[in-house]
Amino acid sequence: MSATASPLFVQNLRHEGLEALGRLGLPRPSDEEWRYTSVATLEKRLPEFVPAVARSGARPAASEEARAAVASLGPIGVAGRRLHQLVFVNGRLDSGLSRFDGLPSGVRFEALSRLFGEPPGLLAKRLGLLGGHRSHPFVAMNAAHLLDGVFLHVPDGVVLAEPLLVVHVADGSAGPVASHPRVVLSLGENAQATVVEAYCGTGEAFVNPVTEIVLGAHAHLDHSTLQEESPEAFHVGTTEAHLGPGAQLFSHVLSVGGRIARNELTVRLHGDGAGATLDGLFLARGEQQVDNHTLVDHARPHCGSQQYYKGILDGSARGAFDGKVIVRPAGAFTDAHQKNRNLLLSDTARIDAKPQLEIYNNDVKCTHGSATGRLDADALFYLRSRALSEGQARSVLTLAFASEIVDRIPVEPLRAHLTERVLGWLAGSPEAS
Amino acid sequence: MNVTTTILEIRGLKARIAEDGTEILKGVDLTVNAGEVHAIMGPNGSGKSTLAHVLSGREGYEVTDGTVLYKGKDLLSMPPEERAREGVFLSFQYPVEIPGVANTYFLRMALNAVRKHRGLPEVDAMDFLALVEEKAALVEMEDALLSRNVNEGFSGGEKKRNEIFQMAVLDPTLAILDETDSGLDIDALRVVASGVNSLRSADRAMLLITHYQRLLNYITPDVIHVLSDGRIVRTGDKSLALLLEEKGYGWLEAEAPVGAGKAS
Repeated sequence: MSATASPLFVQNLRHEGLEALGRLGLPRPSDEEWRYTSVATLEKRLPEFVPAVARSGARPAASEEARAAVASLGPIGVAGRRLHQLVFVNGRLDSGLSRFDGLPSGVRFEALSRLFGEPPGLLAKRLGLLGGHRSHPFVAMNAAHLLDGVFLHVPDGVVLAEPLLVVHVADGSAGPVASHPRVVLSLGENAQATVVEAYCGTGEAFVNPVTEIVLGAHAHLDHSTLQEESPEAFHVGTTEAHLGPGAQLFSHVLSVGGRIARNELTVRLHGDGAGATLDGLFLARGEQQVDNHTLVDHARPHCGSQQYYKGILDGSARGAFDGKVIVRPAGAFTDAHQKNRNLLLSDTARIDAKPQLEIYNNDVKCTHGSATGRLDADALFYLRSRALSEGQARSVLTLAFASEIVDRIPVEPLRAHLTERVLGWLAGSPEAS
Repeated sequence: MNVTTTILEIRGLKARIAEDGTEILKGVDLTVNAGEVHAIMGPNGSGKSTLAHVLSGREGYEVTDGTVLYKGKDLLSMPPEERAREGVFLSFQYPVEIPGVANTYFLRMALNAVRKHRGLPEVDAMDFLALVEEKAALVEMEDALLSRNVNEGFSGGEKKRNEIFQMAVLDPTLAILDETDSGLDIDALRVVASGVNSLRSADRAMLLITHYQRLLNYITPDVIHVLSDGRIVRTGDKSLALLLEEKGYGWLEAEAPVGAGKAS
């Protein structure tokens, strides 16, 4: 689909994004929010990455490499054929790999590019609603290049029992490639859904996804992001969620791959009694950098948030957890907790942790804390004294460290996949990096 | 006629703390044969736990002199896991809590590591379950403890039962029980001791390391050694323990160590 055939609201979004990107420019290394992300490296490399559509001029057929990348998702991938799934290769829908029939009536789970041909409906109201494209350079860039992505709408009171899967394959096997997927998740009042976004791929790629989440009153969304592109990939992901009264978000941000990966998550608790649980697990080794940012905005009374991010770093990897909780003057009876634990497996790995609280209301309960350590020498010896090799002992303890986060993922195949990933990662298997 | 098999032979063992060079073991000699249970008693700081740690390969100690042969092999050159696979088991004074690792999951890995070393196939799930049930009964381990994380939130008694349970599953040739009675009330002590007694066998040797005579009311050793200031200063039968109970350790230290304690 060419840009000119897009509906007006899409064209407007692209224009606004382009304008904002020109005005904002890319972040500078001196920007506080970006100090842990190697923006200079990104900026230098960005011109090499071109949208796949510009290179081929047509919808790319899924390459062998792309199919292998999807297959590597194992039980959560296409092989399972159990989940409703939308698969995108370099930002464009691959309908051959996708499956989205058989959902309850009224539920929309569609590729954006297919909806652009329909009369503007709810999508027109939801797309870009959260406005990041006017203020955030990478969201603006995503808007400027908007071609395809996902729209999910679950109507009031509808509960989706089965998880929905969105797979983004970054296939850099034919040269560096860029994609800017957009995912819009909209749940009506009392609606419930479970969504997994998986980012995988091969070769050099720049992936710049934006996920917008709008939850109606008392809606429940369980949202997992699995980021495991190739070790040469650059990933800058931005997710923003807006929660209505009593709405609940359970987020799992799971980061395994990429040369530089940044996961930014903003949760706005804008309805009374809304709650969010934000879990994160990031693994990095070699020269990888992985950077996690969270912002939880307590704007209304009686809202709760629990953050728990765990990092495992080996080699010369660098990781960051930069988490902020803001309690606005109207945020009375806020219950906000933030916890970060990191495991360093080498002397040269490094973590930057910056938990922050900004509180403008006295009637709140807030805690935060961060701790970084190594594998417990006593526990290692205990396991070795029971015949486990040093490598096995390290694997067991590292997996145990990760399991606190992994075990809280409700999608069983994703849990299994992640456990395999952690074990493979520890064993140093190249495909698991 | 029975042929005596020597399981452990320690000769002139000297060891110090790696960090500060403090000498703890100052020449230990000890021979333990198959089928025998030896108790090593001694006051705090005499080197009992250091001996257990050095035998099991814990880091933080330097052996400066002497030899340790286990079934004729040089034990000190083996990493801890190889000692375990060869059949050495250390029951910890303070068993480590390992959050996130289920007891039976870990134990199955351990058992399979031992079996692989002995050229046996991995144990299948059903056989393992049967083995676990049988051995758990020895120390009255509840099912709930088996599936919980290793020692996490266990009481002192539950931790020690778990040690003896693991020992029963791994079926060692040499069991070193470091202060197994510490932190146990009388009921737990009885259960643990009966578990240990049921594991006594003609081809297994045991080394009980204990400060107090109390444990020896329940597990009767064949030989008792008194360790004092890094040396074995007395060796005798179970009556030695009663003497110690009565007179304490003070009278030993007043005497010069004679003959550096020849073992049985």
